Amino acid sequence: MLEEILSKREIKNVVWVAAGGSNGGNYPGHYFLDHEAKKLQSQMYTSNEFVYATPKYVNKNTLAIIVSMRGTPETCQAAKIAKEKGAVTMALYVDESELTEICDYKIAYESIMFDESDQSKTNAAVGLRLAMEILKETEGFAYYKEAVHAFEILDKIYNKAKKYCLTLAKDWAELNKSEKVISVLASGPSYAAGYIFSICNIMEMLQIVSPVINCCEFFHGPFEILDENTSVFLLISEGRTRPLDERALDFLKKHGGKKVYTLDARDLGILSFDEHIREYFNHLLFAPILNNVYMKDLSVTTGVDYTTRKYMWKEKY
Amino acid sequence: MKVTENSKLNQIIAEIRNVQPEISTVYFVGCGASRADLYPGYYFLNNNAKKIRTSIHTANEFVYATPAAVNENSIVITCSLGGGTPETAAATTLAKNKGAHTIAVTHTEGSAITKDADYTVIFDWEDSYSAKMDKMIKVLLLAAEILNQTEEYEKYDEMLKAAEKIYSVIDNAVKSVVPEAKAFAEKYQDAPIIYVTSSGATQEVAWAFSSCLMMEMQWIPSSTFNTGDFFHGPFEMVEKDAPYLLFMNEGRTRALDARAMTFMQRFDCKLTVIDAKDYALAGIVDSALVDYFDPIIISPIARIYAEQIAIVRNHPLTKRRYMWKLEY
Repeated sequence: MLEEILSKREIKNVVWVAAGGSNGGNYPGHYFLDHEAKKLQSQMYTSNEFVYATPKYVNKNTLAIIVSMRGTPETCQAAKIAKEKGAVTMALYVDESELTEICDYKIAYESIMFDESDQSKTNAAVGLRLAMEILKETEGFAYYKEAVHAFEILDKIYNKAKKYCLTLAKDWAELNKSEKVISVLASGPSYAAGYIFSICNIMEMLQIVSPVINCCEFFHGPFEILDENTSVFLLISEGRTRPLDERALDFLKKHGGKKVYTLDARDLGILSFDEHIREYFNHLLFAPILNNVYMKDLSVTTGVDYTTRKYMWKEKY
Repeated sequence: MKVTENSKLNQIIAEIRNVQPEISTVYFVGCGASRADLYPGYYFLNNNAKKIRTSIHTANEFVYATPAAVNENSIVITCSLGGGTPETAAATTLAKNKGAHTIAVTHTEGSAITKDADYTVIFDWEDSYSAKMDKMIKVLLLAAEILNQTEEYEKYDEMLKAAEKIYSVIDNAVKSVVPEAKAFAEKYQDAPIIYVTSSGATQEVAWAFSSCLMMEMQWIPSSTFNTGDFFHGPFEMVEKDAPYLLFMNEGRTRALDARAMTFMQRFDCKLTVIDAKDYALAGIVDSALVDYFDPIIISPIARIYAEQIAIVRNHPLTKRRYMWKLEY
């Protein structure tokens, strides 16, 4: 598919467009290109920002990767606009919808929510894989083989990680069952895993307030809310940005209390991946573990059914 | 300390282009409120550039996971009010070592971030609300200069005119704000959490209000998100009297903000809106530029809201438990 696209035109930029959790799911692919590409530009947008303030550079040299499980209206609208501007449009989807009709190409993905899903086929994984393929085809990517291997073993690593977290997550959920505010800290390649945990899992599904804070920015403001009663969930990534998360951890240990919780990618098996590419896989372990283990356990202890919504899919908005 | 004249900013970019005519990437790097104040410039450039690639980074991520494209074809703009932020100083040094052209934007001449900066831009700060916006305005102008000199920008003259007018517009706007800021303070003083939301170029003004003014300076937990993503998660927190603060843009993303407002009103949230449209930007700046001046008019007004809540809660904005007091 990519070969076909690239044989017809030069791709100079990639735009990732989606809303909410799917927007967060675009982050691993975007983060990879933003950090590794020498020339190719990558940007990500929540769908309606793309619709109402479309960047001028979008043209026939743009690959627009547009993601929605079932065809979110503003995401379909964004796809139409990208197409009008001449971009190649690629839909990542679960159910066929207007989105798959609009887009030039489509790739089905498996939702991270389901136990039977293969974690190397989720939206975030397909996005990252695409980003790596694009870089390989355009500028070259020295660790492509290692990355392919990582995708091959990802689901196995995830399932081990899930087992590892079973008791830990139950303890965390018990400790947080009456919590009014749960702050999520993450940085670098895992920032969006924190973002999705905060906005989709904790706020949307369980209706508990959840600020999400970048571990670096923590020291430039948000750390002032910390006291011994604050509930904090810190993701520690593997890779170049690990010291940034560890810096936050040191501070939390000194000034926080027993509700400071850390989830370390090393404990989830990230070291099984090749050292040159493993940092880009943090998200692909964190996001499903948070959704399928931590969120579900918190749903049990809080008694909030995570499948029900007050507004989503029910109200007009 | 001598504030850099806005009319001199074009020379900085011209000099960089004398050395390196091919500028292909522009990075905006800072921490906390200074990173947030870089955002409108970044947003403008990303929105309008046809070729230049741009991104914005918190300084330590830039230092530890430096993008592969930082090189002699890059301009790296770093920003720190006091200029001593160690992460931002390290980012400036690293950028210079990679061959990038570095511009430090600071209030403090000779500060750490200027050490490895090829150019230093000094902004105003103390004397007025418009002075506090000089940082954001200068960064926006730098972005416009880069765009105009590399790709040509058809609204360049209008941008300079708008930047000239905006200072007095800000100082006029803030005159009438105190009563509504007091009402906000009364209404929100006991809120256990405050949600702050916006979109477009103002997204990071919402972030800064949430992270710096509420969490840092008032110790009030606060959650912030783009009004576009609001309907895909955070809106499930909406209920009667849930405390929201919405920064409403006059520019193109107004539709996103208006949609969020309608939803919050419908379910009787405790809602306060700071609406850029009340300050009639469209009559003052070219209509194609309103988006980029929205954060510049909303930010000082929001600051007055924070000042008033600090008074009512008897918690001065200068009070800290950790910042500047501990090693971290």
